[in-house]
Amino acid sequence: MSRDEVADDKGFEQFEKFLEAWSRRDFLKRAGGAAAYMAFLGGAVEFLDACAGNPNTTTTTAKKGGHVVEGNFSDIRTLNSMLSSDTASNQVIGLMFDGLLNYKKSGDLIPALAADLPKQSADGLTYTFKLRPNLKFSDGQPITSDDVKFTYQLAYDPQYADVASPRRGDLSKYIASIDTPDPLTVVIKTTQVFAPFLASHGLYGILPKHVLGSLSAKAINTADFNTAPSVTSGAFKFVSWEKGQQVTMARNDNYWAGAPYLDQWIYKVLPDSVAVTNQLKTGEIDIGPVDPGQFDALRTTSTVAMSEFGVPTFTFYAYQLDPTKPAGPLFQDKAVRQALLYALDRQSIVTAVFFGHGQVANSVEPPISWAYKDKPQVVVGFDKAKAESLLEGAGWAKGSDGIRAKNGLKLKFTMITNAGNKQRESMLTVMQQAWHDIGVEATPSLIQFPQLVSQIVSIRTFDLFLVGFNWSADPDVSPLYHSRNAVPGGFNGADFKNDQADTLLDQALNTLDRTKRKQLYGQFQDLMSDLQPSPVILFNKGIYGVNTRVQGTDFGPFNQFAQRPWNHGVWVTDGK
Amino acid sequence: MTQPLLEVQDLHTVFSTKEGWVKAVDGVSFELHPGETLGIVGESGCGKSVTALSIMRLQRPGLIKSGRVMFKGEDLTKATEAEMREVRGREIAMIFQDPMTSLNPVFRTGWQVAEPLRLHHGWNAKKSLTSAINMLGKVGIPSAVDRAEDYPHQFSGGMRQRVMIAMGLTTTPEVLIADEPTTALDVTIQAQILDLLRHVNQEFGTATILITHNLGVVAGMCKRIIVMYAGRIVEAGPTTDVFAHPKHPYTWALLRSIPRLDAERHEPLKPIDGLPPNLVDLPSGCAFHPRCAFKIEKCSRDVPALQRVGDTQLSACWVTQAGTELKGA
Amino acid sequence: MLAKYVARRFLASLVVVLGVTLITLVLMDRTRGTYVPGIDLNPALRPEDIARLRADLGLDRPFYIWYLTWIWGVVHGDFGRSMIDGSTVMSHILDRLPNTLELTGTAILIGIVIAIPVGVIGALRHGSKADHTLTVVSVAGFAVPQFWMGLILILIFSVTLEQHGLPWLPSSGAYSAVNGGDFIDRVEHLILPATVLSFFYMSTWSRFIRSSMLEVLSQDYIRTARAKGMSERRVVYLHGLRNALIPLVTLIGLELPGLVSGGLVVEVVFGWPGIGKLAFERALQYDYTTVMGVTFFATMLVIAGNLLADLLYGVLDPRIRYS
Repeated sequence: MSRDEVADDKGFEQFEKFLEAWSRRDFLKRAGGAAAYMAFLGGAVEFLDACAGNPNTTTTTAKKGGHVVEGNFSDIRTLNSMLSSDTASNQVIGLMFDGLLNYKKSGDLIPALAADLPKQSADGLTYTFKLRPNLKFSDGQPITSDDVKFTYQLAYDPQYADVASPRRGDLSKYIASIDTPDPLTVVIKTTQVFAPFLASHGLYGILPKHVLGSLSAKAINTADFNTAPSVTSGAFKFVSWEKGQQVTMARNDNYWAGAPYLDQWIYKVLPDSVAVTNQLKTGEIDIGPVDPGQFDALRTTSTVAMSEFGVPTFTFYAYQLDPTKPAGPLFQDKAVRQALLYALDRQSIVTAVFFGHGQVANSVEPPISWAYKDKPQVVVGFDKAKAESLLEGAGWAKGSDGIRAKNGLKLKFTMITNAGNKQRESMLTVMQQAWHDIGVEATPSLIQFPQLVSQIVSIRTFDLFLVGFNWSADPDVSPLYHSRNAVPGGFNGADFKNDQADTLLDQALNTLDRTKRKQLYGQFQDLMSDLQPSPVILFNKGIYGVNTRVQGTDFGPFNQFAQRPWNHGVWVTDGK
Repeated sequence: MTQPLLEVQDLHTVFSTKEGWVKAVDGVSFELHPGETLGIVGESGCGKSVTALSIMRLQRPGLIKSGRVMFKGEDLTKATEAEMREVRGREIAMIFQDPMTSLNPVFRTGWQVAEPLRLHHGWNAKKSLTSAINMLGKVGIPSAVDRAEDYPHQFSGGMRQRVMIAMGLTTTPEVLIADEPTTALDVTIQAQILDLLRHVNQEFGTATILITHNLGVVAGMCKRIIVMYAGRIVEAGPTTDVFAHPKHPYTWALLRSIPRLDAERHEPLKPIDGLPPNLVDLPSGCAFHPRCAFKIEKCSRDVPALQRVGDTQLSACWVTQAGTELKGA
Repeated sequence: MLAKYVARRFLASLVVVLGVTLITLVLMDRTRGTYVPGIDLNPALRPEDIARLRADLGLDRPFYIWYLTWIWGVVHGDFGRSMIDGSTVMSHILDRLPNTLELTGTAILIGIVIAIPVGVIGALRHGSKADHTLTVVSVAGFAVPQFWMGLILILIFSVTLEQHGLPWLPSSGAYSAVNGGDFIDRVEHLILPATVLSFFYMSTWSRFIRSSMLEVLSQDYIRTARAKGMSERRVVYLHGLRNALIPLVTLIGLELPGLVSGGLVVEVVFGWPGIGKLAFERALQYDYTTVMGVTFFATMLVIAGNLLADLLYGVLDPRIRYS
């Protein structure tokens, strides 16, 4: 939560609502622990600061005009919401295309093009959306239920099978049909109860059927629209894309929530996090993601305000669980898996590698999730003695060379991660040292990112890998932990197969009752805390730097890159 | 006797080396009269080229330690660089041994020959080129108009040397110094070039200094001759007199060493014993004495001065100054 | 005569292009493993989506089939689409090539403009303090890694200057994000990266000019020139430098291929939207089509550069003429 916002009236209101919302949250009651407290503290400190008098707040009336330059590391790939899968593209698409729904920064769903959250049928299979009246594309054409249906068809309808949508797998599996009884009504029927349906598939930017409808499926893949959308449904419309440099967008006067204050929004490609810091300082960019290592460098810059919040991004490592692989036998016993985790001082990793901008996790669910269980059945802290006693108890005795062995098999393995990521490289070094201290020989090995992905997804000859990942707003974690994703091509590279885990995950997907789901995920987290197949080292903190002339931003766990319902409300104090 | 055009007076030029100072020119004096042809003869390293370069003040990295070079009443050793630039290429011209490397490979020959005219007379490109072409014709280059557009590498050795001569003469200088002009050429061409130089001397009245180690070249070309050894003049005089009766053992030995067509078949050649001296560490007394067939005791002690020996010759030799004739097999 | 020579060189170059592109493809293919270009670790992607994408990109087929398909396209002027973003390879190249040429071209110009005087001074004053200083500076310019120099310059001329309220230089991109693109704006963005890049050229070429000049100044025709009575300046700069520059032209010509690839490190450090950066990023991501397209152009440029250098040499040195 940015300090500027707190200081003005509008912000005050929001803060009140924020507090209210918090008291309603289940996880605040349940958890009551570190996560909520820290986040609250963070907000409280900023609040107090702001109350003390913030010299950067100027006027409280939003000014029209001006531009914002937002920086990030990758160039976009496509501007078609149904073809994109990378963060950069989604970020820019989010500025230009609205979907039926959007997220609040907490991850809760709010209506966007839809007038309200959809009505759900009793059996949980049907979602009925009513669109807002008088919706218009940037060219003045009305946005109707036909456009919604057309957008989704590109991914699920067999007649559009040639469209290279990366979402075809899910959408064709879960969508049975989409009906449009009238221009303002969309009825989506799913094939089975799928809890994450709205959170995962309710936000796609709606595309203009009157522009793309006449194209064949193949032609849509290579349409000019994908790199230069002539018509948009969101806060901004497209002006230009200079490859490798920036995407320039201009105000969409036909936006349903009101025309944005800004004339232009520019997405600029930057080389690295140091460049973000430098350019935030010089003012070449107004907004940018701040690397934990750069936090201190920006703290003293008076023209940049930073906000920090928990995000569903995390770093974890996975043991090789396939007994047929060389290192498989080492990790079959959960005592070994737990012991190795006990030997790691994860808090010091957060301090040393992430400069304190991270949170040690007790669970595989992100602390910001409503399903998070802060005290699962087994809470693994830093306990070297416990680690060693677990290993001893499991029959791994130290040999003369200091390395533990059992039945002639040494507790010795290689850890891989991708080269070029300083944080992961450092983490491997820490792990190597920590495990060396308990008689385990773990050797770091750095490989290129594509090779790492290959290893995780198909080759799987690794002993142990370390990588980052992130979840969406829904607590479903099947991609990593369900056995069906252990097939080649899936992300369950550790080959974790557990019937109980599978059952819990499937049941949690199969009901829309949040209370029931929470309970199931609680049991799942208990199970995982005991089995520890792929321990999470930490959950990251997102940090955003915003120039003090920019007002109206409200970054949060789920309002980082793509889903930001407040884009149109951003304005600049100097009107430039 | 007319006034000398050029008078070198006790010139000393030295070079600094790791081993010490090298006295390349060690007290050289001579005169050059207008229209005269003078030959400077000696082995490689005897200082003849450095003498010529010193006259032009192009002796760098050497240093003119002392002495005077009087040219038309001015001492060139004291002239400013700007004054020397007026002299070089305009009043005193110099041509060098290897015409291939002595001509700039990237400029057309006509342009190079015309350059002194543009520099010294201020003529424009057209006028200077016309004059240059004219001169090229005069030195015997056929189709001079076309050839002026060619580059040096497109000429044969002899032709290139003609170009060099033309380049030296475009400004009708009063002195032409030719440093080993025929050494890099084969014998038949040598003769042609020498003819040309003779012709130029007669036609333009240019006083010529011809530097060479080849006595045969000197014989046909120069009226007077100077013999140098180890940086000093050891003998000087009219060419015919010096050749008929040399007054210095070195000259005598040089003349004797030339193979003769009328010698017996089995007769061995007569080279000069020993090696040329190390200029950093000269022998005491007469520099030639270690190799001299006539030396006396005095020769290793005292340096002989250049004195008149006979009617027309000068020699720096104790032996001949004492009256001894040089004879022997 | 000349046309024949150029034509012969061109035909030989086709063989080179084919060889280089084939080797490039083999290298990528052999190291790719099972990675599908453009796929990140995105929990929203299912195994069947990834498999379908792999098939669409033609990566299920052996590499030579892929290669032949690509060649067929190239012959028709179609360089295909990027495997990662679907944009045409041509659009990527055309968008970025001018930026690279702008950067490296400027760097080469700066390099020449500075290397010549530095080299000449070094030769004229060889052995002196000035010469030694210039030598140290030249070697330093060569030894200092470009990314380090780039970052230091950014720190000084971008961040620090701005903090002190002085006029400062931008640290990334070819022009300003907002209202940018005019000549002054582009020049401002060009200064830092071109300077860093030019250091390399400056150092090597100034050393080269120095030794070339020293060699030339010891030639007989320099002595002749002096004997003709011209000023030392004319001797050095007209008669001397003209000869000393000839081999430099060849050196510069051999740098022409570097016009495309030489600026890679600088492009990455300064976020310069050039073709080097593109190739670098896409090679790491196994974007076959883009990498092959860039390789094709780069090879053509190498060949053109060499040809140009040879032809220029012939123009400058009359001793060399081609038949």
